[in-house]
Amino acid sequence: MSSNIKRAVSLYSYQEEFFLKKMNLEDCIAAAAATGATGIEIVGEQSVPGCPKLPSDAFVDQWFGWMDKYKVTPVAHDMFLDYNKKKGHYWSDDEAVESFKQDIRFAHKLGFKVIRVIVNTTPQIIEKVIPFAEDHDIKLGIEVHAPWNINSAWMERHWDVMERTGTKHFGFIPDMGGFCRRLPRVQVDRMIRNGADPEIAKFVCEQHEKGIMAEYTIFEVSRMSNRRIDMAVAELSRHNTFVNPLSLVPHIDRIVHIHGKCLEMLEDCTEYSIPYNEVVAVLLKHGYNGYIATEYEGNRHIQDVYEVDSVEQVRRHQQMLKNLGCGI
Amino acid sequence: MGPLDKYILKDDALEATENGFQLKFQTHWYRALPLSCMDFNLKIDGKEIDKNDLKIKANGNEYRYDELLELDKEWLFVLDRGILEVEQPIEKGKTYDIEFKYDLYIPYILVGPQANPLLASSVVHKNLICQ
Repeated sequence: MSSNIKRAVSLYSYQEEFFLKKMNLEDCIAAAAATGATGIEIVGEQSVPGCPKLPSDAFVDQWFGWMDKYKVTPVAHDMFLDYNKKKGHYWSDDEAVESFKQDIRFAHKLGFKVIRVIVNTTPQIIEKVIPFAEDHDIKLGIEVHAPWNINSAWMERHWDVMERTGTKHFGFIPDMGGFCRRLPRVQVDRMIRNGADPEIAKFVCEQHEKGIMAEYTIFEVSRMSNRRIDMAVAELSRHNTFVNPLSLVPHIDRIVHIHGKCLEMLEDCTEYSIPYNEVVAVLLKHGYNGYIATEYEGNRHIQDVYEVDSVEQVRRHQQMLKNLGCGI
Repeated sequence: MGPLDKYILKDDALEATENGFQLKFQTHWYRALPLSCMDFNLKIDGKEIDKNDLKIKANGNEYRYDELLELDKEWLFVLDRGILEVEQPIEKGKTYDIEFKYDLYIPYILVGPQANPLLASSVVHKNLICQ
């Protein structure tokens, strides 16, 4: 079974092995390609020395050489706005716009067609940048990241820009972390190891699975414990939201890319907390035809007790997407 | 910050120089940051080094500590090591007790009513043999 949904891997997924120098950039690209993914996503400042400066011509040649060698395509670069790089100086909109344009130049030079725009970017800044993105044929996608969802007031303001400008170069990038029906077990277990009360953790998980609003759970936990770590467990329910995947349907044509967040891929190639089968079914039915890029982020929750195996976690995620009908 | 703190200073991090010593450090934040988003506290054998005595080196460039806040265009890549240099002679081959506090002010995660950058702080305490 195949569809028009394509599969990519964000090299961010391999951050543990990359930092520990067990894998270099080429190894990361090769590992992504070995899963059958055809697209590559990066955080520029993580993967490319010198970023945000434009990469050298030698690097660009090597980069496209790797793309050819491993038969993959540059898909997305993740941008950030470093509003407060100098103590006491908060960027003006003009400074933010200039930084954003540099990300567009960077992405363009390495062949990326999409930029993941960090969620706190204002609609005003994006509107100022859209003509520059159009000139470089790069689609901007505002990250729809928990606790926001695609129908949040913040996203409505971005939607307004999409509609008003009529541009084809600005849309949404939903992060699958917004579909956590269960709380990620790796996060909860880590907090218990750090001293959280296991009974409170169990209560929070149960409340989340019942669909109880996070604020009510947080209030209940505040009456059970005055310890910060227990409150942090309760707050997991706020930062790992679940919204109905059907919420994507009215915006399906505005979705330019998807972050396939995963924190714990099980041996059977399902994600512990995210019902990917339900979300992908909605995407398939309603004709989403972009990439889903694996973004493994579980390493930070298990690295205190386990050796991280990002390569296997990404492989399982890609296999899951394939099983669900994405890609070849 | 967490379990990866132990990798900030590798076993070869402490090195004697002509006039003193240098300490090589690596950030484990997943994304490169400019030097203006960093701060350091260094103790050697329990004695704190005056920050004004620190020189900071990155990408082949050298700066005084009082220039740090202005260095928003000098990025330290995640795989590269920065260097703190101190003009205080130490002995090659001898073991020193090093306590290094490494603060990262994350410029895109702004928190609190003043929208201050998130502080991600690590303290590494190691006995290092001077190379």
